[in-house]
Parts: sequence; structure tokens; C-alpha cells
Amino acid sequence: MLESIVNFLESTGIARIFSNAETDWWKTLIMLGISCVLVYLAIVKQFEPLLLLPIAIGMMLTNLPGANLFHLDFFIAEDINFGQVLHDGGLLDILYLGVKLGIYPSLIFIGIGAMTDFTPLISNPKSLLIGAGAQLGVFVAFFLALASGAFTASEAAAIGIIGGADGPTAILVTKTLAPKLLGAIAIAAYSYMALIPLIQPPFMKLLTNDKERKIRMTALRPVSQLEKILFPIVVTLVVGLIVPDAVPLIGCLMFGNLLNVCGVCDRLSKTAQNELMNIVTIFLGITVGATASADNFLDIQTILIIVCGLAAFCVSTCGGLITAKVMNVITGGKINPLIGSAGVSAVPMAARVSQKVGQQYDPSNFLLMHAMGPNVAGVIGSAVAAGVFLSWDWSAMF
Amino acid sequence: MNTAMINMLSLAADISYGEKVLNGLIVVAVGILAVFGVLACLWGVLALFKIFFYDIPEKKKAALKKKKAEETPAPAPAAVEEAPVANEADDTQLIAVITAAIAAYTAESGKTALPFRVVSYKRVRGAGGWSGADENETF
Repeated sequence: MLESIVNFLESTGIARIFSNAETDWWKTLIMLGISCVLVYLAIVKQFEPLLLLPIAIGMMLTNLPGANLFHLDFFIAEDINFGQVLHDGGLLDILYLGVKLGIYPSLIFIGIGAMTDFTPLISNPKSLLIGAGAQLGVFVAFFLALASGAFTASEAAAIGIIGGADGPTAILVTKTLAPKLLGAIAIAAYSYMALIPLIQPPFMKLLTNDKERKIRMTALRPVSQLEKILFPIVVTLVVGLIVPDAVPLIGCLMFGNLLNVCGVCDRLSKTAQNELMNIVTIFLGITVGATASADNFLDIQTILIIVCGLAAFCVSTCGGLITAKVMNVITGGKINPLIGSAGVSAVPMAARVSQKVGQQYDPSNFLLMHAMGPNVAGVIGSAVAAGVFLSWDWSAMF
Repeated sequence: MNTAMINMLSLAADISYGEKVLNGLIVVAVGILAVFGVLACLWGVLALFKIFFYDIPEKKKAALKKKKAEETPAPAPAAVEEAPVANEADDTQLIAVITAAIAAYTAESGKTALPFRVVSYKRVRGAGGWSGADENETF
């Protein structure tokens, strides 16, 4: 009788926290505390709640001793033992296969494509260069992480992609190049995306003058239905032929967009935008959060990832702004440089920030549609940058 | 020993720091060129979209509009001015009444009747009952 009671008490989570030989008790408590802070930020502060809340709960579940919902060590090896995952794995192990096999990011991109209107980009293709300029942070952060000496080259690439401000892209690159860092990188990427309204305005004000901020851009030309249908097909072909490794992202993004614009697949388009997107978001968020176990997350590397990620975001914002400024000079003052910051691909928040800052200086100036061009160009640009990193033969050079 | 330390030690064993940084710069340069190159290609494609799906159709539309305008008869505003002349026989009575009214007005106000002749008039629509006066022959 007494032995049964002792066994029961030893099986409780509280006893396991303190008796766990692999993980220090204080680390577990810190992780549970961080997950509670993230829940607070998601619900009360509404920082990207649709993703941050599942991530926070995933983090909480994986750090509860004895729950055995997730085992990161199953997925660290080059070759995954799928039999072991199915036999010994918990719920989150099974769901994590969608991340590990690169299924969720691509499915998310179908939904994003179905929800995105590329009209501003088709109407003003110059925006593509601003989207390219805003990928500067990806490469600068890669270089910083590499130069720090704390990361391998492939891990540095996964950290750099935070600068693309695109969660699914960051997850796809990280699960391939640095699976161990997935939790830290995904949390850093989504946290910074949520903080865009705080991060970007100081740089926007610093790099533009009063006259530039008040520039009114000419109305966008109308775009025909035929152009809208041809656009996703052409982009898939062009990008796929140059950077094939970007196809899982760009192909799915453009497929989703084609569903939306073709006019004959409304049911599929609505499913991609709503049910599919929501279901995959839950699976993606909770499994990415689950990778943030105490042993894995509370590391000097996590702090460096957070620092490099912030640098990536800042440099990407500046890259977009400087590119827009240069284009403003070349076009004779026709481009408001404030739309440059929207080149980071956090859609549509970055474009909204451009609109908001622009209206602070001229309340009757509407930059939103003009900023959407660089914004969606940034999505394509970050996917291309991801394709470059994924196709790189890291072992040959580093 | 944490992973960062292991990475640093393995770095020292395999490749020098300088080489690593140099290779990193090559990746940065190739990456930036690739991103700009692909997006510049897309810009070129979208510029062609504009030419084929916007500029050319707009030019065709404008040419068609111009052609149609050339084929249509004289514009309506001229017809308004010339209408009384065209219906000169019908409007003779109305012109006589207007002439008499002006003559009576100038005589009453003590002015000498000016040598004038009413040759045309312009109907003002929607100006009360007088607008249809000649048509209804109420006076």
C-alpha cells in the first residue's frame, strides 16, 4: 500500500522535475515560466496570437516531465527511424513529422498564396527590387552568426533566414539545416515579426527626410484577370528554373494564389485560406514550440540567435529603405522611401507600418497599396534566399 | 561542453577562421546576386506583361475610340445653336414675340430702341414654365 503511494508520488511531475538526472530543475521551471510569458504576450498583448499561443503551449507541454509528448532526439539524426517515431513517439512526435518532412511550411504557403493579392506588385514591378533589397539582413545575419564562431555555416544560414521575416520559410530552412535550433529560431522569427511596429519606425524616420516621407505616389494601373492568372504560373516557372530548391515554397505560394485568382476554384481557395491554414497553423505552432525543451533552449546559442535575429530584422528594414531611396532618386522623386521597410515579408503588417508612419506626416497620403508591392515581393525574395541556402553545399566549403 | 564550444573547436581543427569568413563572404555575395537576379528577371517579365496586356490594348482602345469619333455626325452642341435656323419657319412667330418684348422693354425704360434683330435663341431647359413657352403656345 505504502509502496503504491510512494510510486504514485514519484511519478508526479513535481517529483520528476527535481529527480530528473538529464535536466536541471531550474531549467525546467524557467522554460515553464517562459511559456507562460508567451501565453501572456499572445492573449493579453496579442503579439501574433494565432502562432504564438500554439508555440507557447507546445513549449509548455514538452517541458512537463513525464508527459513524453515529444522526443527531439528522434529527429536529430540524419536518418530518422520512422518505426521508432511511430512506436515510441508521443502525439507531438507524430505531428512533428509534418515539420521534419517539410509538409507544414508548404501547406501554409498555399494558404498565404490564396490570401495574398499580388495586384500591387504586378502593377508596379519595380517593387521587386525593394523586396530584394530587404533581404540584405538575411545575408548580414548569416555572416554575423558565422563570424561569431559559435555556429556551423548551415546553422548560421538558418539564423540568417530570420531576416526574411517569414515564419514558414525560417522553419523550412531550419528543419533542414539546423533541426536542433528550430525552437529558438522559430520563436525569434515570430517574436520579431510581432514586434515589427516597434522595430521598424525608428529606422524609417532615421533614413528618410521630411520631404521624402510626404511624397505621394501615382495611382497604380489596373491589372487584368489574364495578368493575375499568368503571374503565378510565370513566377513558378522563372523561380523554379533558376532556384529549384525554392519550389516547395514558391510553387505552393503561387498554387494558392492561382486557386484564388482563376475564378473557377472558389471552394478550394476558401478551404486553403481558412480550414487548411488554421489546421496547419495549429500543428505547426504546437510542434515548433515543442522543440524548445529546457536542454535545447537554455543555451548561449539561443541568446546569440536572438541577437543575430534582431540584427537581421534591422538590417533588412534598412536594406529595403535604402533601396527605395535609391529608386526614388532614379525615378525623379516618384517613390516614397517609406514603402521600403515593407520589403521584409511580414505580410501585411510591414505594409501597415509604412502606411501608419506615412500618415503621421501627411494624413491624406495613402501608401498601403504601394507598400503591398514590396511586401509581397519580400515573400518571393525570402523564398529565393531560402532556396540559395538550401541548395548550397555547406560541407564542401566549411 | 556546450555546442558553441564544440563548433569553435571543430572549426579550429578543420578550417582557419580567415578561410571561414572568406567563404562566408562568397556565400553572401552569391546569395545577394541570386536574390536580385531572380527578382530582376521577374521585373522584366512583369514589364512585358505591362506592354502586352496594358499598353498595347490601351493603344488599340484609343485608336478605336478615335475612329468611332471620326465616323459619327456633327456634335450635338452645334445642333443646339443651329436648331432655330433649321426650324426657321416654325420659330418665326416666337422670334417676333421676343423682338417685340425687347422693344417694349427698351421703350418703357426710356431708352431709344436699338437697331437690332433677333436671329436666333437658345432654349434654357428647366427654367420654370417659360422654358416650354414656345412649344405650348401659352401666350
